[in-house]
Amino acid sequence: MKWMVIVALVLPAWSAPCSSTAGSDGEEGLCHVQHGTLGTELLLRCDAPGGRVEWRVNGTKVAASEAAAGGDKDQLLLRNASLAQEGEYSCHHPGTGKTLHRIRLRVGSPPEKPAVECWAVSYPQTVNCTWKLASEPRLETYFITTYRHGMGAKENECVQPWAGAGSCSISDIQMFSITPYVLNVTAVNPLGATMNLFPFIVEQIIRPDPPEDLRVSPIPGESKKLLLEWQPPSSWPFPQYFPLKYLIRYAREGANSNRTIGPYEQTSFILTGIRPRAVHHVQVAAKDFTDYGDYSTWSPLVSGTPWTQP
Amino acid sequence: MWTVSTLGGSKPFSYNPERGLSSNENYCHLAAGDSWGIFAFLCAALWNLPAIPALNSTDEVGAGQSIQKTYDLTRYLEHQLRTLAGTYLNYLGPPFNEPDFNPPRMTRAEMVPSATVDFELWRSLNDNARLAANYRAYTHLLCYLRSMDGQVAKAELRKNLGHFCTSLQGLVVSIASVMSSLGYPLPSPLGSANPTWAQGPGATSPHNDFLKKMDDFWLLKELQTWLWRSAKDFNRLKKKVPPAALMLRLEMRGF
Repeated sequence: MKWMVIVALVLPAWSAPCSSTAGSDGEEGLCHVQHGTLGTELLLRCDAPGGRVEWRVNGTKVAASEAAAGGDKDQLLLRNASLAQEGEYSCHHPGTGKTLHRIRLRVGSPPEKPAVECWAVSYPQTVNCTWKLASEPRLETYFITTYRHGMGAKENECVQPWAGAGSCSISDIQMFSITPYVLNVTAVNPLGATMNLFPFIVEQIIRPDPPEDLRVSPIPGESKKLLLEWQPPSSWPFPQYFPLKYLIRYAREGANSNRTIGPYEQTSFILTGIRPRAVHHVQVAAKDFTDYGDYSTWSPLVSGTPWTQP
Repeated sequence: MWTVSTLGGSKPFSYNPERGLSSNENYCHLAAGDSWGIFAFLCAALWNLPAIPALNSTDEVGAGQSIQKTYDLTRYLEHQLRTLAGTYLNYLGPPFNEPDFNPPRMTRAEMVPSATVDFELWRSLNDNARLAANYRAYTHLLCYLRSMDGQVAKAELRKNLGHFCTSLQGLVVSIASVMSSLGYPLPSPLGSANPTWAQGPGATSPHNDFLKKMDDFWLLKELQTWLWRSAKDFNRLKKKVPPAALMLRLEMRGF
């Protein structure tokens, strides 16, 4: 609609983050966004000089019985705010219908407590933390992430790669710390802020990424053996100082159960005693050799068949 | 002091300040491919140092095996400590036995050298410094643990603590034997002239029961972090002194 564009150019200082659906009588007056908490009483103000105004929601006139009872006449009181009451409210001069004020009402709640998880995937270089809200937030939410090493220590930023990434990372870790690091993830939306503290000791949250480049190969001349080879995860920065140990999980195609063997420190293994001519599926998982932290998730499944006599 | 071990099992370099170089040992046997520059540097540097004890191949193998035993001992102790700490903290009672008890650390007097270390520093420690740090830490820890031992009321707990102290003593001896087989001197304990250290924890606050319990709490944490660290330290040493193969290696004390 061309006239909307024109008005937007004319009144840039007052153009506000309101919806583009406008009243049909022209775009005058201030517009702002108001947030209200679900289930509470909300007051919408017109700030108009002189007494009465006419309220409309999304263009439709609000019934007089719903309008302010008690209080000034240029205010609209909504009891027990609900999601159904969201929309664009406007107050108009009773006689001319001129728009005096527009309010975009959004109803919601302060943010939930985010669920936080931290893992040292690249021990001892960085700790990666992620968080999630239990349900998709209705209002725009951003997160502040900071951490301390020990009580009374300086607060540092846990760096998020970009806003809204849902993750942040801490570098410059001290190994073998006697006091925990404490991560603070604070969710902030227009109605409030909620924080969650996550203390951790770096050695206890070690969890490498799964091993990479798993290959399952037949061994010429051996019909009951398979050669397995893999690489440590590329995100594990120092396998020479901090070796990994590996678990191997394998199953024959069509079998109900699988077998897990290990842990082994080598990055290769010869599987023996397997059924000839059958497809076998293999996965590998890694853990810090000195047993700190957790095993990685299983690597992607790789399959192979042992050598058969041609 | 320099330790030079050589490839091929040939006789090691030895320097006696009175006799000078021995006649059939007056060369550095370097692996093929090493440059003359390194050779010249080695010989020039070695001339200027005081007495170097000779290290022959059996010592090297011995060191490798002691390192493995020390590593195994740290893993065993760590396992033992988990049980012992749980029992002891329950004995101390709340809040010490609460899982999320996270008090601020008041550094009135650092009881033991801390295991906490920056990765780059940890990586750059030479073998002597690495071993010495472990040796110092456990001699201190053993001393404090022994003083804790005598005060525990429950007999069963006293027995477990006693058993743990014995194993920890074994670790100290094991580290000492690794150091001597590699030719390093045993470090003198830090602050040995300090009367506070010698009296053990609680000397500064003899009448405060809560503070004494806090000391015990931190002592157990220090033990835990040192055992974590030692596993990594000895694993690292294992890689550098493998029992089977010998390699050209130069270690300098104090550098």
